Amino acid sequence: MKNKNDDFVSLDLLRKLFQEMKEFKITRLVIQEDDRKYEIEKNVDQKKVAPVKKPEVKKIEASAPDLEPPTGAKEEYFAVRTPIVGTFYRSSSPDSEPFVETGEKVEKGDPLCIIEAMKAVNEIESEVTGIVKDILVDNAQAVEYDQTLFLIEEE
Amino acid sequence: MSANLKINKILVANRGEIAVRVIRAAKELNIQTIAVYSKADVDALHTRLADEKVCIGEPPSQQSYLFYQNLLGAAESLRADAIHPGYGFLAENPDFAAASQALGIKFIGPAPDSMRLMAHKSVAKQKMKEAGVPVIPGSEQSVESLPEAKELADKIGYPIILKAAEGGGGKGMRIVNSIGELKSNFLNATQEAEKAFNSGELYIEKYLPNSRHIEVQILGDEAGNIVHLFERECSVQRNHQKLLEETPCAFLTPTIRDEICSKAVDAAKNIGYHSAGTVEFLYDIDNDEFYFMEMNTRIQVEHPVSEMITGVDILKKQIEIAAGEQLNLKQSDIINSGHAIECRINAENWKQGFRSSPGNIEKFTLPGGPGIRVDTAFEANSKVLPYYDSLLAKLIAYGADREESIQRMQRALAEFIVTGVHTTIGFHKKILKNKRFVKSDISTSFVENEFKF
Repeated sequence: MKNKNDDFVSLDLLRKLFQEMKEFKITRLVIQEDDRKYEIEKNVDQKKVAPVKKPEVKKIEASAPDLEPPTGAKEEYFAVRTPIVGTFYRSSSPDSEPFVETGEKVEKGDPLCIIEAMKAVNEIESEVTGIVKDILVDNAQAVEYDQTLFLIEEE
Repeated sequence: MSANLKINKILVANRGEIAVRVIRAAKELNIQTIAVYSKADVDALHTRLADEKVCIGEPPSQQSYLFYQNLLGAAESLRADAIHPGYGFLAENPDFAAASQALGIKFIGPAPDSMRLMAHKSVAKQKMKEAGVPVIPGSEQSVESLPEAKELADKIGYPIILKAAEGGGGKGMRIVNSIGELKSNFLNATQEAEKAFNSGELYIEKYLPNSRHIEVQILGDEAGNIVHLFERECSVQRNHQKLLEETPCAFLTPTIRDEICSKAVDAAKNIGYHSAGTVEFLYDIDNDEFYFMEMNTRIQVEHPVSEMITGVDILKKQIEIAAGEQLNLKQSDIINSGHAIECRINAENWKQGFRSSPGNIEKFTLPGGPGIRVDTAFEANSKVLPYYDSLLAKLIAYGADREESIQRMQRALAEFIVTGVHTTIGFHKKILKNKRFVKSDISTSFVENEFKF
């Protein structure tokens, strides 16, 4: 990244803003600085976030060749995939706790992670209630379209 | 901008042969590359040649190669410091270029403002007039109404051509021969332009039925140095789509060649253009006049013929310019030698209206030998996908003169074997044998006049 962020809103600031937005239940924030514009949108209702599609949550066989099932081979998990290409973060800021850990229970609508693209932060929420069986991407890694991020055992 | 912007990693925002071409240039400059691909392009050659690859969406272009957010998200997350747009897709989209720059990612192409100026036909013409470049007689601004159109048409004389102000690629163009035809065409053309380009603005130009398409390749750096790499003749077209290009144009005298090429440089200078670009002219055969038609603010499909006769690698220059380097070429350093022809081999059934022919390629035997260059992203057992354009390969033949270039092209066309999909190889064989083509006695109506389908 070297010198390219010099005169931009830093990622740290973005994360702080995002945290504040959560606390005060702000869903959209626009910062205009000369000719530059930053938009942060908290992905409360995924339908609102145009032009990105809703995360596709597909039921997949845990025994599919590219997935290693943590438990019995016959079990089915929900694969949470990303429609957004960008950088994956497990927490809203470097100092805060990850949204979820393996083995934890998540409710439908709970945030699972954020993906940053074009200086916009997109929150990915769980579309199902269940137990997080696996987190397939490391923090701050690039993710590609349709990549599986989480496996959730639906309740 | 930092004084010494160095490019270390390029995201190639394209697919097919041009993505491969960009990756090859980057490799020769020791620059890392990222290929992007839609789900339909998982195994495509460009994804294998690049250092990294990233899936950006679904097969339809709107959901992948045209989808800004995923392209820029990929560039940011994989730390690309530049984006090459290739041609087509987002190559001439100033908003994409501006968005990329705003994220601190260099767009390998001209400034967004230059793209905007040249995208608007009447603005572009106005700019050319200022620079002393001849323009086709016609409307100075967009023509708003039928009465206005009539008045202007009377002044410049029929036939005229109606064009969409925001148009390109031959879309929304109508040739009008009389007042009666103008009445029936004006509204239709407005509606068509609205649909295709989100703008119903039209402008009028004198139609030159007997003309040749001649364009000039230019290269400019950010310090304002601009050179040309001579002209290309692209009169062999069908429905305004180029089929075969060559350089030099056998028809031009050295004096006129100098004049056209220097006008192209003037045109680029006047708008402060940098990067690779092409200034297109129509040469009126009946009156021996040439006129500015439009400027393409990107690398073009037919750039290889200019590379063959000048020895200048246009892609590498384009990348170096984007990295902030000055052109290390003076006009006097650029010598054209020999002749080059490019045939665009498409996956189309030319015997049935050039219908596109997607499918599985079985055999794919490339021609070779002296003077032959093939730019393609296809190989045996690969697929021609229905979602994208039908360009299968660019076959380029270089020779010491036009005759040798034609002979080599004929030999290469005979060697080129493709089975599984229809190709236009057979049609190109006919062109190369055509007496008028061999004499370079052609106009933009050549294909239409010489071949009945």
